[in-house]
Amino acid sequence: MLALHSGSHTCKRHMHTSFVRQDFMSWFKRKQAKQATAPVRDTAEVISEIEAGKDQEGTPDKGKLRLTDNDFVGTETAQHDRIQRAKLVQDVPFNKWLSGEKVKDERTLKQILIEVHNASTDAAHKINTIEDPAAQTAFQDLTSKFHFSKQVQARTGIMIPDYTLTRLRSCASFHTYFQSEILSGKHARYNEREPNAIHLSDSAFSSTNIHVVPEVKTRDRKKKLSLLLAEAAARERDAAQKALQSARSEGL
Amino acid sequence: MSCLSSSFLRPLLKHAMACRRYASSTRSSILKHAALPPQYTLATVRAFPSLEPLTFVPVPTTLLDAPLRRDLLWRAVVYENDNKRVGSSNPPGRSDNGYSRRKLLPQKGSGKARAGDANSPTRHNGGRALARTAPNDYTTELPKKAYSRALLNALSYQYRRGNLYVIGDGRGLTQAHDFDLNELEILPTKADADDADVVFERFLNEFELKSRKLLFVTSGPREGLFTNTENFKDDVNIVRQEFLDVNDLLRAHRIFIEQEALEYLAIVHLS
Repeated sequence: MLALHSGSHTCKRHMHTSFVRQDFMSWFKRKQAKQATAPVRDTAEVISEIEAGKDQEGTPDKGKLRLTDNDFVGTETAQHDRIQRAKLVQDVPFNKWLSGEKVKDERTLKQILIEVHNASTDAAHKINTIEDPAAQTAFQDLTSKFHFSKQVQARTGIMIPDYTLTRLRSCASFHTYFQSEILSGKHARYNEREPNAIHLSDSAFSSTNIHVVPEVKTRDRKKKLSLLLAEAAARERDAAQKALQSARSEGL
Repeated sequence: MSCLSSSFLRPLLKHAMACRRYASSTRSSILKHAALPPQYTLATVRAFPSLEPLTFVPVPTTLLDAPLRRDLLWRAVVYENDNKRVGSSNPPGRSDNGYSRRKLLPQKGSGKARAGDANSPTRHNGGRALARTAPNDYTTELPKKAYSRALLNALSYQYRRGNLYVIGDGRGLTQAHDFDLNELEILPTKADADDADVVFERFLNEFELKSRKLLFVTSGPREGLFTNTENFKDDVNIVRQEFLDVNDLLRAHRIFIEQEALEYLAIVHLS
């Protein structure tokens, strides 16, 4: 370490810049654990495998330039802390009332709506399909509407805004809402930063002279670009190899 | 005959015109079969931090579902921002600037444009025109009613976009879960544990609220909420009901408001 004096301040400068590994003992632990898991084999079997020329794991010439876990001693402190924190956050007790799995298809949605409706009404008003007249009737009171909406939200995994909840009056109207807003993909497409964005598609126009260019997501665009670049790199490599070979053959 | 007819017709004409004026002024603009707009809208009262619904409360549409008035919002935001200005700028005027009072050129004969001294605001490094001395008062005025309507309008705007969550108790309909509270407060899971900040982070993860601007409107001081949101202080804004302003409401991506605070706003701004 160098100590530089400039005026009243003293600056310390480290002579080496490699990262300080805190948890270097984990390397031994990891190695021990790995050794314990490896099955014990008969020596004769191993010798016969080597004589037969079977590919051996960890031979020095193969994975020479490939870094394995054993090449790294310790773990990065920040990463270690991040993992620990994420584990803590995941394990902390939390009242999870919304289903983790969101409703994705019409059949499941109908099933949920029918079950929730039948659970909260008497035998005379039970329904078998969403098209039943009983499903069209408005909720009797706010309490029944509350219990119905809560169960539907909990089971579908989707929170319905209060403004919309006020306007939904029957089981069938919930079905219509889910169909038009959630299952149609409108909810998934919604971007808070562009709330008034318009999503056009060919299905919206019946005329033959209108063609809507389909939207390509950034993720897909990047994936395609990386694929093209990889292909180009492979071709360049091949071309260089061929050129080298032809040069060698000409030279001979 | 003509005189008689004119004396008879004039009052009749006058009466007819009065009738016409009366008819046009008292004619109702509401159509006969028009549906009346709803007077109440529903707000779900939720537990915190799980946001589990506990009950519905009907809220007047004037409080949570008022039609958008951009003009009022604009005026209120300008009013608030004007009043926030400290007014500490203290630029030197031509009398404060340090140059001499000597006239730079003779008035005539130099072939150049007329010039005064070097402190003139038209010259490079000259004094500032209309300079003022700190503290400067930039405050503007807005009628109380206009400001109140703007605040409720901002609240309504966020409600309609589904960004408003009311936190309170079920009042008998349902009870909050053991891990939840009926107010905007974060507590550790056990008395001897120190994991309240972890609970808040879990809340953010559950509802995908990281890097979203959150506004918490409380009816009283909430120490746990203040201390345990420290890691996310750039995105979390905690405001007491008395100090809530339109800027806060419009900037937030999600608003969490206590039921008492909502009642307070209704009393203060609806009356």
